[in-house]
Amino acid sequence: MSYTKKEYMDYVSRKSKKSPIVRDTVLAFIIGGLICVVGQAFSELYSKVFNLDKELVKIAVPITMIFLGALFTALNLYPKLAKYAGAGTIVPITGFANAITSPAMEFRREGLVLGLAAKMFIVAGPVLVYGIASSVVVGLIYYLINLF
Amino acid sequence: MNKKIGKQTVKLENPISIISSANVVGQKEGHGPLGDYFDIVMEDAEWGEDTWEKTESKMQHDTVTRAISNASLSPSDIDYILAGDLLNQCISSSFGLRDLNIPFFGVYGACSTMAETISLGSMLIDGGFAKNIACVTSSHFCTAERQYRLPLEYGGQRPPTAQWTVTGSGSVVLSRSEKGPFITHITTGKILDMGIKDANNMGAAMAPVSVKLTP
Repeated sequence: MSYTKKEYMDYVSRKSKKSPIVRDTVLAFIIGGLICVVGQAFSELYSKVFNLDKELVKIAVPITMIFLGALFTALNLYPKLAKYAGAGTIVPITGFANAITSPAMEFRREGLVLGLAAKMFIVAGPVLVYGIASSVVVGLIYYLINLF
Repeated sequence: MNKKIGKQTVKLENPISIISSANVVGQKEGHGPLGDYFDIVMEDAEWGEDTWEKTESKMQHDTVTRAISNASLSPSDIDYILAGDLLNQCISSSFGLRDLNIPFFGVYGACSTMAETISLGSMLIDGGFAKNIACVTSSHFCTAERQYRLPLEYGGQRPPTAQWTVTGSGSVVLSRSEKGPFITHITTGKILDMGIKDANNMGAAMAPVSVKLTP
């Protein structure tokens, strides 16, 4: 008598090594939080030391974090951190920078147009599509509510 | 003469010998339990080439030429070459072996390619269609990740069930000879879908075809 599909799936489930959920969650929280602390530090730096006005700081901080995300991806340090941080490094804005920089690097060898440029959004594409689409929907709802 | 036994097995009329072999592997494989048995362990993923696909082609070319010379033959003595890899259109094989001028059968069997090339090669010899056959397969972790999964620099976390694609190439030359190892029978597997949905857990998807499982 051999395994039915259900029996085999149960067997695989029992034998498969489970992810260390507690360790993963704690590390994601700590490292994700630390990345936000770095962002906040830049915010303080730009407003208190460079005396930039509030609106400019709101742009300068994301630019800085995107740059750092891309830089660490290029130095191959971001994936090393992500191995431990998991969800902590996936979150925007640094995670998004990594998601665009990594395919750009990987597909550079296939050419600048058909490789790097065409494949650059292969990971981040859904974020752009559904993020922008949902912001349009939210904007419409906001507009309609404001009519009353 | 009826060589078929049951639905999946054939018995060869005369045993076919594996008269020589050659291999090359990556660093991870070199550090593994079989590390000492490999001919060459590459010092890095590129092995002197500027793309990983070119590296994989170089690996195939290297193992085939060494296997053929280990058999004291030259490429012109080989009747057919059966080769396969994981990439689209089997480019590692076709680009790697193009200058050998050997009639070429491209084979796609993923992890079963080595067994498949040896099976088909043995049948060709036993059927009287060839005297010497070269079989080769290869895979490269980086080329497989590029084709099937995410960029290497992407910050994703691998689940514990995720497997690593081997970086390696192996080649054998088949012929009739007094010395073994011998191929006497060939059992060909069927496609078996046990419902594994986790794309990372390749082992669980593949295990049922090679082992008859009982609870």
